Amino acid sequence: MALGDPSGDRELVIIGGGPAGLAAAIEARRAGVQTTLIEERETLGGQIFKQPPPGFLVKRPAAMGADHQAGRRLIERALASGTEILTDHVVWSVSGGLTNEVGVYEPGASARTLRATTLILATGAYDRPVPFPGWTLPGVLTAGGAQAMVKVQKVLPGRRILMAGSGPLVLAFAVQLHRLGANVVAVLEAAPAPDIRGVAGLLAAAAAGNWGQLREGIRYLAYLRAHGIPLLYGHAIARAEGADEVERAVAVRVDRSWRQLPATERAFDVDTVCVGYGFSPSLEIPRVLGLALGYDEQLGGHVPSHDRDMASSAPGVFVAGAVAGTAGGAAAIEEGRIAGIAAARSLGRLTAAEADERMAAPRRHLSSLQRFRRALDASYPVGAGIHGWAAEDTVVCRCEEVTKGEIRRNILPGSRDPNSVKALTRAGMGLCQGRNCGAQLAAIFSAETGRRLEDLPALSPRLPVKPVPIGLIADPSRTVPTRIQKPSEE
Amino acid sequence: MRDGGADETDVLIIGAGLVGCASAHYLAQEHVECLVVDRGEMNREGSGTNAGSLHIQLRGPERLYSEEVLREFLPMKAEAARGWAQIETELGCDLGLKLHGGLLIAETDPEFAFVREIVEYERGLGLPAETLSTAELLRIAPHLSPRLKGAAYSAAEGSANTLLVGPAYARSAQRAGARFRTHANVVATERLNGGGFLVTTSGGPIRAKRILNAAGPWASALTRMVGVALPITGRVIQVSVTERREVLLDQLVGHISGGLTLKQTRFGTFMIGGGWPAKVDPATGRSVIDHDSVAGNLGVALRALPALRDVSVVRSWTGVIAHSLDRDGSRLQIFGELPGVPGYYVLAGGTLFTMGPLFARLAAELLTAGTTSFPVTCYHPDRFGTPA
Amino acid sequence: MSAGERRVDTHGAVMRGSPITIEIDGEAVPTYLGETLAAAMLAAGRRVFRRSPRTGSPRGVYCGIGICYECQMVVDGRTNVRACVTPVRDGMRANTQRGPAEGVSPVPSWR
Repeated sequence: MALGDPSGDRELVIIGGGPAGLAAAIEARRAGVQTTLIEERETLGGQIFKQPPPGFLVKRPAAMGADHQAGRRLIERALASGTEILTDHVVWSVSGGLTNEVGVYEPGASARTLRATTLILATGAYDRPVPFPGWTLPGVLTAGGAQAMVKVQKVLPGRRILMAGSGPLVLAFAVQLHRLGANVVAVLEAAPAPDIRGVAGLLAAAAAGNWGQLREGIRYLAYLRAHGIPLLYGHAIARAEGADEVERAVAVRVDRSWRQLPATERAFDVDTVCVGYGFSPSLEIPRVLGLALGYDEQLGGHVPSHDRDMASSAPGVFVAGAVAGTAGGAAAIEEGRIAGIAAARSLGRLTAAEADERMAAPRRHLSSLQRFRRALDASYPVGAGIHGWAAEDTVVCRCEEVTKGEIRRNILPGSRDPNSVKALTRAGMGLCQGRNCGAQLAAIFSAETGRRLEDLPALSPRLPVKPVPIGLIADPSRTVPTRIQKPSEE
Repeated sequence: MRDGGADETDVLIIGAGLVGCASAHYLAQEHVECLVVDRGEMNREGSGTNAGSLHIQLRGPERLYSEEVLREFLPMKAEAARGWAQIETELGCDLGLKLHGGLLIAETDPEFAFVREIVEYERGLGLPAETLSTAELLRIAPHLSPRLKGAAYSAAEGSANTLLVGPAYARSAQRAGARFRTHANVVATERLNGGGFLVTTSGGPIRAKRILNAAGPWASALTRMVGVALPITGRVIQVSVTERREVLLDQLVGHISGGLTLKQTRFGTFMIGGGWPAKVDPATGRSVIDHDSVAGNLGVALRALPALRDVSVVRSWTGVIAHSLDRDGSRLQIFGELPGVPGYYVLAGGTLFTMGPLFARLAAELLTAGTTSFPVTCYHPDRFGTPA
Repeated sequence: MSAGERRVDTHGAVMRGSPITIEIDGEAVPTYLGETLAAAMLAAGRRVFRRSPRTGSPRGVYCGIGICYECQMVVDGRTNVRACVTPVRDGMRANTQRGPAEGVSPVPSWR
């Protein structure tokens, strides 16, 4: 179908069918808003509430874990809400202004443009890419990727696994893997062992309604101890080695800033390294829309700015969940609810008073969750040294195979913009559209030129937001227009 | 860049695109001191956003050139082709050059008749070109659509990686002593008594004996500072590039009626352009991709190469290209000393990727010897009349 | 769990789809409907999905969610197919992908 044929105007389009998007849809529909939700995958639930693939039959839901259950409930409520749900649809373009236009395609089928008065971006986050020597070897994969393989596909990523990362998810996942029959050889936690202050902070935050989370954490620690799985605090992955796949992994001690300490290496005989050092928000759509961004290393870098109603800097555009730097399904749900209610209010479907009333409970819950999160983050602060784990000959742009040294050698004199390195080396030009190398490219550029990370322009936000097949968006009926657009004179 | 270098120079080159960088290289070869300034990053504007096509066949306004113009233009085209064939040797580096010929396809019988006309005209002018039937076309480019009626073919055409050419010239220029200062915006230009200029920039003042304005679409904003209105303007175009694929296409593919450049780079990616316009966002003044325009551009590409159906676009971008506003629509490049402003030279205007290196070489000749090895009277800025 | 078995034994909690056979690099590989090609590969102990264009380096699953494009294979004649988001189909033929566009020039060096 040709572009430019609006397939209908909608009051609200939600991009992303994870916990934030689903919760937003439920609240928006509750207020009577005409809502469309777009999800790239075949199944709803996002990364947190991953659902089994079509074709698998869940015979004992109770055995699938709390997340699966919670996810199923949320999904069912969304399905029953009257939201128009488009799964297996990829958003490839978004433009803002008086009306937001969303270009979407269904692989192998067709493309169309949706127009929406309001937008909620619930596009999630992805594992923070951390280059280190050997990270491109088969057998090195993100914790998120390993989880998807294990939880959804029920396949183990390897036989002998080293977990390397930071934060409670690393612990949880190591335990989960082991329970499913994997041989988890060790867990590397980059943060130092928790001290009295950190523990006290966690206890205080837990007292505000988060006991469940704290208990869980303690159980995980006990499990690792009981099964003789070493948990090495203050350690990180130094490198992975092997010919065609991982045969060995080397750990190293790190200081509080996560800088690797010399002569502290320790080798592990493993075929798999799961890497989990936090998440980076999926910023493609916020960037293309020109949303204002803040910078927070803890949250994975740039994050769209928003107010307490989850409104971004663009009128009619809201953000919720992991894309806003928010960790955890529970908090994502509450942010989604707030965004859905705020969108309904902006459309005139709810009065200010009604909106305030509906937002009260989610705000309270979110506040409590955020307290616990802050305490946790204090225990697992991301160290800036992580940007230095790549060696000169470590591939930084995986798609185009550009190393750190090649990046350093291709910074033009006087350049203030990492995009110039992209132009010379092709770093950032591959199919992943710079998702896996952008942050490191900026870090290297910053170190070489002395310009601060926060001040560097990002890899230029461009369309398409995701690769899109030509056959779906080409319009062979058009002729070359003769009108000419002049650039700004400035 | 090294700030605080001498604030004096012989030739101040304004614009660090292909033309500015190449001019610096050729001047430095002749031991002429030069300083290149740019208000932004090197090679970022038109030089960093065009599709890198190397054209020899006559396209668009070139088909309407008068005999006078052709007399100067044709030898320069041939020389430009020779220059590209050996540029990687000249600069000692890989520039992604592919010279496997260029095609201008015809989809309908009238278009094919037009192909024959154009080819006959070109051959009459001494430009090597031939008409290919569908069968002949598919023999050299087997993945093009069998529905095409044929094409005009020129063996000397092809493409290069525009992202690498300007910087390669800059590096060579720098090694030979030229200086570069980016993020230095020219805000005023004062003519000094006794000759020379005092140029005020955001990076400090520069005293220059001579100026070479290589600022593309913004050349006119600069010439206004010395009281001359230059009829040059810019237009915003967009280009798309795809994922890598196995090699399907060696030649540069255009359309006899315009509106398409399609090539497969050495990386296996397809680059699709052809002058389709982008939009300018009125709120920010920035150029943005125009979906309908992209759809149309891709549509022509798909008709030419059906295998593109399953190939994904990975990036689209916009760029500004300049062209002069000759009354007869010829859009000739502007090259020469500004009338009434001795020492102030301009080199700007369209199709300066293919012709850029040659014009830059001639600019260096003009600034050193006072003459050029090719006649360039039709490009002179005095064709627009006396200064404002 | 046996040493070679990489499929998780869910003790009946989850029933996989019908068993089918696909072809990977010419060899028959057993899998189940509902699995992705990436899962089938990993379950069979196959971890090299492609060789990179520039250096021919082995690459495999990295992000597992379809955004890194590392797990590309040639599937039923189509190149650049992400195995981690492609469900298996009875009779599917997959091959590890080399390139495409081999012989790509090395990265230039400005200085």
